[in-house]
Amino acid sequence: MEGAHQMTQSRTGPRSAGTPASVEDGAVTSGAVEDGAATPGAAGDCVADLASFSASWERAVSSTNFLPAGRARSRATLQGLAQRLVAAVTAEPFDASAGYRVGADLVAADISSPRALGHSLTLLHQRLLADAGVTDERTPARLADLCGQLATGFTEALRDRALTAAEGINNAERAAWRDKQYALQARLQHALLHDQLTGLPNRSALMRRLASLVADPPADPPSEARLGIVLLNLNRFKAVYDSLGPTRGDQLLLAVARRLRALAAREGYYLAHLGGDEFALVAERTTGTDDAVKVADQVLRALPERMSVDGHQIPVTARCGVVERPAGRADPTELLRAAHITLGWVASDHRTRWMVFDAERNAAEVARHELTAAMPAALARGEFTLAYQPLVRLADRTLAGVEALARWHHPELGVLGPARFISLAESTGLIEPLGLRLLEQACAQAAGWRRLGPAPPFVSVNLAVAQLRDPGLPAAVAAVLDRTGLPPDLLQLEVTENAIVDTGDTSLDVLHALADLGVRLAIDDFGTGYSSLAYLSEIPIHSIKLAAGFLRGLAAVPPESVPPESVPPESVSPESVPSGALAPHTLPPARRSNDTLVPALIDLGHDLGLSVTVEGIETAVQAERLTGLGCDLGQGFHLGRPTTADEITRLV
Amino acid sequence: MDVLSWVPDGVDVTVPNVARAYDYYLGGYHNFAADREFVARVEVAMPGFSYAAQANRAFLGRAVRWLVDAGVRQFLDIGSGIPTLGNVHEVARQSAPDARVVYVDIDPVAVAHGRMILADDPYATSIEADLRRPAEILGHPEVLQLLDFSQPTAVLLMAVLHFVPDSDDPAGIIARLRDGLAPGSYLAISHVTASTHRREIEQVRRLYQHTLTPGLPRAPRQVKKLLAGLDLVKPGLTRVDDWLPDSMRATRHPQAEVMLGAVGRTR
Ligand SMILES: C[S@@+](CC[C@H](N)C(=O)[O-])C[C@H]1O[C@@H](n2cnc3c(N)ncnc32)[C@H](O)[C@@H]1O
Repeated sequence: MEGAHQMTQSRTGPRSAGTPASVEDGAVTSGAVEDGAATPGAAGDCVADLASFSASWERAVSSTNFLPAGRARSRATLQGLAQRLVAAVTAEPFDASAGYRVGADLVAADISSPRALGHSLTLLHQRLLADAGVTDERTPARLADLCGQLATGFTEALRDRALTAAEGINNAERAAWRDKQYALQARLQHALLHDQLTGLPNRSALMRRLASLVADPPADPPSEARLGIVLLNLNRFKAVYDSLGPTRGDQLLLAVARRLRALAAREGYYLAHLGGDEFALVAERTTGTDDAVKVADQVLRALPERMSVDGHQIPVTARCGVVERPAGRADPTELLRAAHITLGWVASDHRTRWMVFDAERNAAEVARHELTAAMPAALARGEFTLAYQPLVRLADRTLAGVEALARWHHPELGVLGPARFISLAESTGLIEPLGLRLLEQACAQAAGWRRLGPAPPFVSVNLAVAQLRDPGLPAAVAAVLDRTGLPPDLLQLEVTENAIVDTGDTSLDVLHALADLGVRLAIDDFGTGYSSLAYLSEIPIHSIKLAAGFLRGLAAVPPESVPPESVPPESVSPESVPSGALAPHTLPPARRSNDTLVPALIDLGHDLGLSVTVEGIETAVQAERLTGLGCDLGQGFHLGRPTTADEITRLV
Repeated sequence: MDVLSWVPDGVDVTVPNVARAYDYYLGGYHNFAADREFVARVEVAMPGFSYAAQANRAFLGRAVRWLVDAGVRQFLDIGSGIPTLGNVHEVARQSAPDARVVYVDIDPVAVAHGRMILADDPYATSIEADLRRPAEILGHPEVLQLLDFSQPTAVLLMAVLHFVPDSDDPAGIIARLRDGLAPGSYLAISHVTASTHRREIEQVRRLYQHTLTPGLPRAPRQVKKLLAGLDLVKPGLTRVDDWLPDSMRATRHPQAEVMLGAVGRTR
């Protein structure tokens, strides 16, 4: 029986409040008369007729209205509604609002198209009373009332339904928007905090993590919490990446990430991928540097020497920078910077694969950095000047020349010597303008001395490696000589042998060009660089300068005159090594001392036609000895400290 | 979808949407002006196309009632559309109050609406998912929470397969769904075809080309192929209004010929 499938009203089909859910009531198929209302006339006999009426009614609406409930159920519904109308038309007292409820129930039963209303009203008007066999003369007017109410009830229910639906779909649309935006936000958030390639937390995420560890240290008591961070990257990664190509390069990074992920998961470390080949691990609750070093060690062991990418064995080695601190006092940015700095140290030191951050070393570097940064302005302000140290002719102790030594009159740090800033200037390229400026000062000064006497001192100026590399240097020197009016033979330029070796052919050309100007060239710190002596015959030098180190252990008198008993115990015993049988390369250590070297070097210089200067002479004994060895010029505190130009002027 | 595409698919009410257009075919009010204009254009291309939609919806109701009578208490309604007239959970619960239903649709608005309507219903819900990724549907936490795939389940694919082009392997999708169900489960489908009204359907197809879910009709033979591996219950694949019609048949509009329907049983 179809009536067994009754509509339930679980759907939110809108119904005006207070309207009875009378579909069930109406869904009776035969005989029942609702509410027990007394029905004047022969209501009982008219049931069959109402069945035919409701069949017509159902046909009328189903032709124009999609009936989701199906025709049979809709017909049953309509029959119930027709019976309620018949009951209402004859009820005493008459109550027109029954028509209102029938209209609303039509809509509730999904018989709700506008045309369904029109068809229904027409049919009710034309046939209901006749089909029901109701003849009372009051009933047409009552039916008209009921139909009016029905139209009202129908329309209000329909309007409610439409409004509810419109509101529902609008809300749904907003909800969908909101959900999409949340989802998008979540994705953006994720994208912002994760590396695209590996999906690991990125630098921003790491910073957040560190910030939260610092703000809320995970230890008891929090004041004692410490944390360690290990930053790592791969040696030669750029070269490897370039040769692998981006696809396989990424695979390599993924392989590295996989292993680090496994390590981090096992040990409970926080792992981040800062981009490229740079990863970081954070260990909480460390108890000291050793714990963080352990992490670095685990990292280095987690990454095998060779990684298989696409069947290729790629050699990879990692290096780590380690920082370990009390968590409460750490600053995330500072932590990461310290790790970066440390990693930089490891990168420039081939002997180690990890290092722990060293605050002192860092402070020194910071100071160097600050000096470097201050230099251009200092040059502009004229803070760089020269001091002059006498170069004394040992034979007669007369002033042969002066070495011009750079000085920086730093407003806060006082006077700084060249060791503090020349290499910095070289690293930034500032050495070229600075060098020229100092050269010009020195030449102008020397030109001034020339007017004072018949044997003016020459001035010796140091050249840095970067200057030697500049093919424009000879022209610049010529211009300086020209401007200052200094004869070229009163200018000596000092270069280190390392500078010659490091700069190669360019510097040879430059040196030849300088020599062609008539300028004297000296090798500074002769014999201390890692070089062959071959260059001596190739470059046009005039003198060599022996560093102060050669004076160490130089005896006051020649060794031959030392009595045997005064030979120090560590020196060779005559029995074991017969002195006459010694080849030079097996010369025992004591005999390979400066006592042997210095005379040999002086002789070598003289044999090559070079003037020999020894630096760092601090005692009269040293000066005497060197004089005895025939050394040409001496320099050192004993012979004269670096001093002002005015002092030198008085000496001249 | 790209991270930067700020207007999410399907939430732009100025673009006609098939779920809301379908609601309008049925006489519902869950639609926007763009959807109604779209339907008006479809009605120009094929007058009475709405009858096909209505016949389809009526078929859905009969199929669900049949499935309930066959003992099915779990329904997975994929491509469910806007909850509108004659929803599966309402129809099923008329005779099986314990029926459980999960609605699935790719349209976020339809899903959001479904979720609002079903907010207080512990045994029915609506999720956003794509029929073309059946594994995600079968493995969806809310699906697993409501449905027990060791028990017979009916998967409804009503008027949705024609939105899945051959390049997305609809037969494979159906096979995946079928294989995720207990023996004695059912798959019910309806599908647009163009054996008749060829020119009109072609025009309608062109109009759907401008929605986010373009569709395509399939020949009855192709539709049958999609159902391979299922035992079709009688009367097999028919036009929807001929599938076990009620004793009182609804008007048989010729336009309804473009909808085919069938119910198949898993082995
Ligand atoms: C025409 S309606 C059918 C509604 C209901 N199944 C019926 O037959 O009465 C089609 C529905 O399928 C949805 N749809 C289209 N492509 C879909 C997909 N790939 N995955 C899930 N739903 C999809 C649409 O959003 C729309 O709500």
